[in-house]
Amino acid sequence: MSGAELTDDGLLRRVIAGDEDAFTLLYRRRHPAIFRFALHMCGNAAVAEDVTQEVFMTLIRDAKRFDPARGTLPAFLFGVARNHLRKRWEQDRHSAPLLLEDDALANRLSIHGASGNGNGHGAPADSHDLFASLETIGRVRQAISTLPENYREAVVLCELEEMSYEEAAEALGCPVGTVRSRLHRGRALLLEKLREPQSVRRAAVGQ
Amino acid sequence: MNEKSMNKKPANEKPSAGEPILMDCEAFEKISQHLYRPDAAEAALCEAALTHAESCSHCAALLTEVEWLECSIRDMARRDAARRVSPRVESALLQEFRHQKAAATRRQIRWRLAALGAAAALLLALGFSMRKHSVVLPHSSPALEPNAAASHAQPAVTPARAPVQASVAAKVANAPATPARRQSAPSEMSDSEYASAFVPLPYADDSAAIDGGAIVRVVLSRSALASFGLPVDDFAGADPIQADLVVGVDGTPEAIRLVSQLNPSDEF
Repeated sequence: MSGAELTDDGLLRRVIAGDEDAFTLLYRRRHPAIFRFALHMCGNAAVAEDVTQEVFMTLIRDAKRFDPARGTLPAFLFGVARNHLRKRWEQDRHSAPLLLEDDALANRLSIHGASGNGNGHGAPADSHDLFASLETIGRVRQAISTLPENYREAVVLCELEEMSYEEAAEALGCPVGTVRSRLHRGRALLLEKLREPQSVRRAAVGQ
Repeated sequence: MNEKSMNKKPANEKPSAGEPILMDCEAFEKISQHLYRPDAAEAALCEAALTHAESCSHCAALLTEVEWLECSIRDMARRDAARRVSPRVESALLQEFRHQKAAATRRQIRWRLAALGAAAALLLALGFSMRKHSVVLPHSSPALEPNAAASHAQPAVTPARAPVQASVAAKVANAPATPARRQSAPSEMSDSEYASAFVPLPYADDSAAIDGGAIVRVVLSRSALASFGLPVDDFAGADPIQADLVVGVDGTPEAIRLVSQLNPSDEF
């Protein structure tokens, strides 16, 4: 394929014409970001996989819905992913997000570390670092998952996906200023949520 | 927060070039969450914020928290970057892609068949319409054309000769059928045709010469018919007329009859 055909728009044209290789290439290029976005938004790898699959199913069945004049293909895909996530949340309104693998590992390490310390046979230093790192990630993930949806989207796209404000604004369909303010509020809320357990733990360690 | 009240200009107002930025704690809080993602225009503002944090313990603590959050989020992003979607998702998508492609191909074939059907129906309707308006297409063989052209040279026959021709026609009709004649007998005509009786041509006075001849379908102009001595109403008419010629064994036209298409509506 030539350079022009390797752009998202070029690949999509070929997908519409029935080119399976073009679809595979487009999927492999765009699915990781969609999967991570869904994963950070719902905190459940299985649900994130389902959402990713549904996003690309939409592309297969109704690729003509994408209008290049209205934005880029990634922005369109994020928009479809948001819609599918909202549908999921409406269906599973009462179900709590599941723990991700590293959170579960952190919990196991936490139990192991507590018992080890109690016996005087503490975990090795690198295990300790790993535990601290995983525990921190688990806490941050937990805090992100409890953010209001608008703030969570801004944090996920700008911080975890490292999008520029402009790219995030396009993906979310809102002005750049709105993204900035949502990100600011989201991060401030994250700090608030993360401060409390830290102070509680510090107090416990001090005793 | 003794530093808070020391600033004269709000830091969220964009400073003009060269103007020093005065930062207070409130302004620091506003910029603190964007310190690690500054726009080019905010570089000077971030610099001022960091300078302010060096002299303000409250803002320094906030800066530490922001840095910790930034590191934790980046750590989490790095860890999540390694996550992969199960290969079954790609398989399922490719299966669906092939299914949709096959369905699209079937739809395309159906469309083409429907278009062909519509075109055929249109052609049939056009054909019926042309037939209704008695449009006769010439389909005589080129070999017959010289005969027809030659017959143009025959002198015109007056209507007074018609009774004589009728009697000869009866003779032709009663003549024994030869194999060649049976081949082109009226029974061979389609149901939608009507034929008059054979009329002998002026120079065919020997009925024996007819035996062993053949009947040939030709399309003639009205003037040519007149040259055979047949009565023609509208001599100037442009419509060609179908006729059967009895051609003798020597190739000479011996008799003629007119053939016309029956209008389907006339049958009822």
